[in-house]
Amino acid sequence: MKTARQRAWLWSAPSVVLLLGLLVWPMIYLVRLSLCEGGSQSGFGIGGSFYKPGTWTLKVYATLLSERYFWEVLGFTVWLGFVVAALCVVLGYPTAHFLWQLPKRWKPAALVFVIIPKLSSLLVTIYGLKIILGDFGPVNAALQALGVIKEPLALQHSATGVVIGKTLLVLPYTILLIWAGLERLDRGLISASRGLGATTWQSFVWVTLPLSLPALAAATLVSLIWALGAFISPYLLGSPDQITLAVDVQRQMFENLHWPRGAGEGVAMLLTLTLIAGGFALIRPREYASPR
Amino acid sequence: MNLHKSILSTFCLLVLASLMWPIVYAMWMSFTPGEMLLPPKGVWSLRWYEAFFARSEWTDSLYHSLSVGGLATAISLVCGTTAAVAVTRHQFPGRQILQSAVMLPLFIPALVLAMALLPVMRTIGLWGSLVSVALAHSLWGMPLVFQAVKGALEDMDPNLDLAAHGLGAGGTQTFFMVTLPTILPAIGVGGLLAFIVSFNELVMALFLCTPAIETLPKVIWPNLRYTLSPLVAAASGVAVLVTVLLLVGVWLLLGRRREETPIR
Repeated sequence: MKTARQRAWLWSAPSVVLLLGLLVWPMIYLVRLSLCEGGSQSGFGIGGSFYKPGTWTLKVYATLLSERYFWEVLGFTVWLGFVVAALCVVLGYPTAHFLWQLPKRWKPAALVFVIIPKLSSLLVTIYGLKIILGDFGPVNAALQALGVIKEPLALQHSATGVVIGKTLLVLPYTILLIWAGLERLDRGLISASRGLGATTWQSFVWVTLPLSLPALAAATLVSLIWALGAFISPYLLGSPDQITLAVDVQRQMFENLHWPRGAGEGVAMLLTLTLIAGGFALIRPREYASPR
Repeated sequence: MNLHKSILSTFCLLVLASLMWPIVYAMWMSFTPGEMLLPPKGVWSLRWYEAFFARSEWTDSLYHSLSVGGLATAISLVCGTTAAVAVTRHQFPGRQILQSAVMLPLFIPALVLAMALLPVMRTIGLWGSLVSVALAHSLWGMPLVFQAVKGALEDMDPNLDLAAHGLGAGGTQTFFMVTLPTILPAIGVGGLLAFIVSFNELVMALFLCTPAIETLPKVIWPNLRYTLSPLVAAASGVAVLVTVLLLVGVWLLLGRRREETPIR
């Protein structure tokens, strides 16, 4: 007969092994790799060395910190993250509130509407967007027909394109998280405030909004995290001069074949994320546990 | 007052529509009979789907994606379910840590994970195999299964387990004859979600796939950068079709779960 403790460890073993092998070890490897010398760039593929194993150097970090290019890329990444997260909250909160107030039988259909873009391939969304935002796409065509613009707007290969694309990719997560938070709310409180004479608007500002702040904060943080890792939309919709850190990591790995530098930028990305998420956690509102 | 409300509703419907629009537009495009990127008007054709299934480059990638998805789902199911049982049914030091650690991969940018996994896969000699991609995808499948199963275990009536024990069943017997059948729909939902995520995942595939084992998103990827042929729309159509079919599966399983609720 096994003891309770042993049985608990047995149940946790598969996930622990997976996490140690595929998360902890690779992350340690990533940091170690960033401390290696760059290798001789003798072609791509097996046999080519992308780094010199066994060497210890801070060269990568010294280069990154002193380089304007890196700071520009990092700056654009953080800017994009905040812009996209802000847009997601502004667009997502009213939408989530709207979905929350739908009659019950409409909700499953609405859920499908939000979930399908999130679950189907991001590439399909991007493909559709590339056509829609293209010089001859429906958006430019409509604006030209209405006489708003004469020349087609550069909606892709520009920061505008990246922001539109990334926002559409992150928005479903924002909506789902806020919606889930609202569903957990005690509807009795809203009826009570209405019963006490509050208008719809007052009961929203004084009851619903404060109670949904924790969900709103969580949704903002998650949107920010996802937006900071932006890779696909800047790559496909952005201009080559304005790239995010993620795009540059991929370049370092596959085009410059400088793995330590790619790893160093990966570490920089994780640090930025941790700093922002940590700062956010400090200022975020707590659950309204009990009235003071 | 009512004017405000209808403006707000219109705004929200527009937001929802813009989420779906690109996908619907891409699907529409895939039925075009011509070579141009113009959506079909009047005449619809399946020629681009025929072209998709006629080229081994595409069908192979579809096969690779399905294999990776299946394998990733299997790994996610084992690791996610056992972890959910561990944190809901057992008390042990590190329980809280395990609970957060399982969810952690979802909050690390895909690209960082992918680039960290590449040298590790090379070191352990899995690089260039479908297994490496499946393992990477299970980092995301596991938390999904874990959440679904954990929810089901928490909802489960604890008296069921006690009753089985009282009737003389051992721990293993109780698990396989009482617990497992009860949480099976949740396991199914988690597994399907894990499959969908793996099937559509690009970034890890981008780093870990060698030309011999490219998955469907990996083959679509360069086409998006250079050519936007309607063939890509058809490939996307195939991906969306697979996803929607699996979502229908999730729907049916969730429906079953709800029907069973009154019996509990």
